Amino acid sequence: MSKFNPSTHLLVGSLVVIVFFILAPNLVSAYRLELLTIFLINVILAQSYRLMATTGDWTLCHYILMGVGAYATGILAKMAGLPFYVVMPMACIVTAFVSLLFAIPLSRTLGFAFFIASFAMGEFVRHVWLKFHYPFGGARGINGIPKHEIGQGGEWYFINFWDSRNFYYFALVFTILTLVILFRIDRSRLGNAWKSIYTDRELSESIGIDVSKSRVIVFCVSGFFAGLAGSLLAYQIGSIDPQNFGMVEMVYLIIWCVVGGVKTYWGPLIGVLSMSVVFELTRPLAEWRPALFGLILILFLVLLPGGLETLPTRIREMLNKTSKQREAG
Amino acid sequence: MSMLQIVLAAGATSLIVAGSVGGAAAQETVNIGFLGALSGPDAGWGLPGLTGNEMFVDRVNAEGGLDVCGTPYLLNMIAFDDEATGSKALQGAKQLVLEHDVKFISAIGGNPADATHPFLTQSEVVYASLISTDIKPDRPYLIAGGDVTPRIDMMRPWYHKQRNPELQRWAVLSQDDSIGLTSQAWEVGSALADGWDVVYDQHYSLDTVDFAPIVTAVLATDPDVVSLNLSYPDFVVGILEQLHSQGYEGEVSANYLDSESILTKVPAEFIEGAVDSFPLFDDPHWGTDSVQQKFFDDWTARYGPGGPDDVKRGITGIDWDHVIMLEIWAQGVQTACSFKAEEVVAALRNADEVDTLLGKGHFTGAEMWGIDNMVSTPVPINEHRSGVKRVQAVADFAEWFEPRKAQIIEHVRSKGMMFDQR
Amino acid sequence: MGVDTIVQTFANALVLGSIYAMVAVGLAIAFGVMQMANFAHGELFMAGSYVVFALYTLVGIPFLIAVILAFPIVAAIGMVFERSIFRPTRGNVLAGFMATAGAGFILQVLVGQQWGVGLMRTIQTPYPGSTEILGAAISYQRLLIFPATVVMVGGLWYFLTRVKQGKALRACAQDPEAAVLQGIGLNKMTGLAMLLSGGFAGVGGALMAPIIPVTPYMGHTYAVTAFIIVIVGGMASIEGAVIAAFILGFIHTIVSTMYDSVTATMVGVFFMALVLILKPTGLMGRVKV
Repeated sequence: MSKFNPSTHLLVGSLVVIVFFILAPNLVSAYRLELLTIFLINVILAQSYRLMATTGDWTLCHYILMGVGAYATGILAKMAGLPFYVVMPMACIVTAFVSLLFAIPLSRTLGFAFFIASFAMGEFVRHVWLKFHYPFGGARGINGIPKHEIGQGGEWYFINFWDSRNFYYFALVFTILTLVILFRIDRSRLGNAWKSIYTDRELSESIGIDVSKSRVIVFCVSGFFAGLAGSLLAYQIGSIDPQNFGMVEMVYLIIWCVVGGVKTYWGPLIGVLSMSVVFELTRPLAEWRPALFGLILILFLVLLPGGLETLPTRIREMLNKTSKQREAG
Repeated sequence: MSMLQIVLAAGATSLIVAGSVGGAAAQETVNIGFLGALSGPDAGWGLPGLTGNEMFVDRVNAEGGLDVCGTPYLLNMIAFDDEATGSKALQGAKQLVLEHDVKFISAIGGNPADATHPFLTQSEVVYASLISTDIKPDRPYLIAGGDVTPRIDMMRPWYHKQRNPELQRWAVLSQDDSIGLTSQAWEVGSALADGWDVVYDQHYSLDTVDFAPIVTAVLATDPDVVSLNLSYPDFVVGILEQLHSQGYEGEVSANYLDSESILTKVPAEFIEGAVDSFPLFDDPHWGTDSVQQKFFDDWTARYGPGGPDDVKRGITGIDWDHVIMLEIWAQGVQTACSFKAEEVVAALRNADEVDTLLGKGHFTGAEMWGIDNMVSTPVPINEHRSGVKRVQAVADFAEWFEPRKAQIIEHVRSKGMMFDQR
Repeated sequence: MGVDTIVQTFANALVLGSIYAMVAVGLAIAFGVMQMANFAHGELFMAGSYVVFALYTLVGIPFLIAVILAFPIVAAIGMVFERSIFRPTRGNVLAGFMATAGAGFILQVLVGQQWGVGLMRTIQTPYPGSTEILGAAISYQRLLIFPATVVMVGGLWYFLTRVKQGKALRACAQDPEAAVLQGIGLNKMTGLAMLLSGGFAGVGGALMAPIIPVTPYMGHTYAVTAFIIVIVGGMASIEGAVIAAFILGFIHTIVSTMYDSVTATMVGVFFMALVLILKPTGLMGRVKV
């Protein structure tokens, strides 16, 4: 009986959440709906980051990779005038390709050096956007990215994505798809092989896992979904510039993954959700808000490095410890 | 049902009823937005503008509200820091419009204008930019001109030539963003039209903190005049400091020189004669009874040393640079008897003249921007005298522009900066 | 390019290299001892600038004294970092690094709320005027940076090679286990390392305060460059940091003068990538990065 409970809980829980998200446009104001759409995009981004984190590779260039997808979308949609069903896959592939270019030199490094080098390479890309007015628009970025339409005016299946409700559902579909795909990957043999790299590198090598190649593949898959998030972002906000993808945003991504944890699949979701709620609730704090988030990051890394997902275990451990102490004393 | 449940139900119902009925007698309020850089290097053009706007809002509210053909409306200003970036500006615009239903937005412009515009046009919100180069036919509710750029930047080369006809070499630099790119194109076109050799015409990155190498490159071209065009106030200080320490002895020209911060870095002699276009309102030029002097006195009483809202700095040209357009919009609202963007802008365009803080103006600009959304006021030209800006001349733009416009527009077109090219 | 332009550029590069050295040396020291990577190193630099703003501009203490005071004040902040962040996360470089990112946010907000975020703080130039060297005009303010750096780095060298605590620090950096066996307190050494790290960054910021715009966010660019320098020089090598600082200072200045600063940063990153590929330990490093 106990073997069934987790999955039924999971199923019921997911259904409740999905129903809420489907009904959301009717429950919240237009502005909040925009925020919710950004939330969905962040979920995709965080989950894609987790994929790399499970192999032990934390990067500082992930937000920039999302930017690559966004810029690819901007350029293809605005300058080439291509429709979304061409632009979005291309943006994802371009991002995966750029991830490959990053991964090859980066896979020669580990740990802290990997981290810093990824940071520097991200900065390089950001400076490329800043420098080249064509096609990236330099500091001005790309404005007026056209939203797509399905069908022609008058036909029954005409959907106008300028309507934020329509775009919200569009993003929701991709979010659910991403979560399902990444979940399947996580539970697959491949996913487990990748996780073993984190636990014990040498051992994995000894059982035949090509660590370098795996890291590169993971980097590219992760980048693919970061590109998807970026593509949705570009369509959503319609206007992107290099400042969008700076260090502050990257630190927030890290905050989500630290607060939520990355060991379990749901960690990043918990992180994005809890931090998004805190972010909105603390708006009255105005200029003090970044300090609060800085403090959260420090506290979690020092006190609860596994993130919120480990909280139940930690509480259980603490309770066990105190009850044992009571027994002993 | 127990007694407790009945009491609770009654309590809840009455709260709901009271909540929905209450508030009917409150006065009408209209929200306006301030969407600009309140931090970062561009803050010099945004943050001070809040004071002028606040003074106007408080004055209007003290009189009972803005009188729109018989109905008074209280004004309420909501500020949002967009850090001069397009994406943040769009976020701010959405918040201001969707959450606060603002009817008017004061802004700096540039990238943020580009980023917010399909949205603000659709939402029918009047947006006042500082820079006329933001005006385009597909932005019918974007107005500008209270800040005299680029008209002043176009006329500065002419002014310097009038002062000293022997000078020949003009160097100009500004930051690499919408503002710098467009206004510098207009300035260079005008300099060429007035017979200058433009020996340096480049843009530096927004990330620049150390201007030493850049100024070295500028000075290598041996200019007679170095113009900073629309460099952000922070950058102006850095560039002038370098010009001084690297031994530059020529003339200095810019759209906006904040004397107070500049004088912490260079001596007053260095900027003697430096030209800009943001007059101080206690300048004897206006007269002691003038609207401008009154603005200065009111500002100093409230924001100056010892005042209730002491901002710990001297008054600058930006303190009035935003409210000038806010006042124009208010006139438009009163003439049109409505807050509807289309009607307000139409009223402004049709008016023979509007009262502005710089004197009488009228809406024009189709030749330069494709639509008559620029208020053309007299253009004051300042020179620094012993570290203080003083108005030396007031120029008529239209008269100056007419014989030169073909050549200038051709140059701007060649840089890809005309309204239909970007 | 005339001779005076070349001399001017050389002078600019020397100044930039000196500041880079001041900032990067602190980072190298901290990393060398127990791998403390400080994301908020740029904020320590910024704190130094604000010390000068607060003491020199607001209170009126003479400039040089304010600069000297920047050392202990920012060193203290560095020690707070060590105690509250690096010690609990010892062994996990990434955790310490990311936690200091949070500390950076906090410092930025504190400074911004205290002294205003909006308009930059302009600091009266303490030594106005300039002098001419070989046809190039160099301001006195910039002129004092190179000698100041030489004095500081020289003092550091003396400390590390002749003074007992300094030698203990080096021992700790080279082999922590052996050092502990010798009776050197690890906590004392990490505290000392962050003291030096903060102090150097603070003095760097203090010296630059009259020269660059002082805002709560000014530290970011310097932090990025400092990390690139330390990677190029060798993560824990102080000599490497100094050499790399000057190399990168020159590259950045020359490219900025000939092109622009965006290209200059790109070239710097490219140079770093090159070094990483050809010699992953950095120019002078022993520790494989």
